[in-house]
Amino acid sequence: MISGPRHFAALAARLRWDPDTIDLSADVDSWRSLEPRRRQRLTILLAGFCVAEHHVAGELRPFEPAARDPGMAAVFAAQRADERRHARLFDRVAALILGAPGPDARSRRQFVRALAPAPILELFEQRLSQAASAVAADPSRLGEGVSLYHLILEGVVLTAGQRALLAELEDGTLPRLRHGVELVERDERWHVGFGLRCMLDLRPEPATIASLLRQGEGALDAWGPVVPAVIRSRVLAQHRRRLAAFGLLPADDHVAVGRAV
Amino acid sequence: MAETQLWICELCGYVYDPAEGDADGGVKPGMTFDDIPDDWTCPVCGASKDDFSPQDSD
Repeated sequence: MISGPRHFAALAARLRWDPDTIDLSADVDSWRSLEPRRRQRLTILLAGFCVAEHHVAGELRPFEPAARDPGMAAVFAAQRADERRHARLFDRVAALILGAPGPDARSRRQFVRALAPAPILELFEQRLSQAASAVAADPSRLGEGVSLYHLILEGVVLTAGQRALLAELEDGTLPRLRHGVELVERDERWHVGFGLRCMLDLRPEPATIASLLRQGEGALDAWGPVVPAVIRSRVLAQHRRRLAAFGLLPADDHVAVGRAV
Repeated sequence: MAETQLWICELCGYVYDPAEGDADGGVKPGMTFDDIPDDWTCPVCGASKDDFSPQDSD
């Protein structure tokens, strides 16, 4: 069982935070003194998030009017406010940590875009855009949109990236940046739970579920080697278990899930 | 009488129902939340038992 819209709306209100109050400038000296290979791994991850969070904030817009239930629509609106906060945080990361030049977010994003993995750009700039356009044109395709947005991009790709970032930042060298990533990761947990609730309500076709499994496995490769194999394995196991717990996994796959987690 | 108290993951909204258990997490139907092993994690987000709280009935 998973909570309904009233719970998610209350949770979103309770967890609200301000990305402008995190003093990232205090981490700049530590960033410059990082070991070059570690700084390079972090740069790739952070650049990916700068691009990804901008797009998830923008592409969620058509989901709200497509929701049949007003309560669910309100949660999509609350989630969009979260995503704007995340995009703002990572724009500040681009400016202050990655040193992206430019007078506005668009120009800074153009700079960091060149540093992000190509498969991340493809997922968030093209595939997500296509899915959001499909939802806007035909609200009955909301389930397809949620399956990509919430369960693949948030539940697999961004989760894997966040876990990798937090592992890189675990030693406390960049405490303000880590704090910001922790807040984003906390928000994403309820976004994924909400997406799962949407999927249960929308009763997806078996083909959609099969596609979710295939996409989940393929999407894990998007970050390349900056996400360690152990993190990929755990995120994929969680993805499968998440689907299994709600009967969204073919019966033959349940044994495999039990072994994986 | 079987326990009917539901527990909710404060992070993702998953609700543990003793009547259902969590088959893929190794928890059989009928097991109370207190009796679930401490290393069990939320099937949706991976949170620990400490991140759950009793769900108020409303």
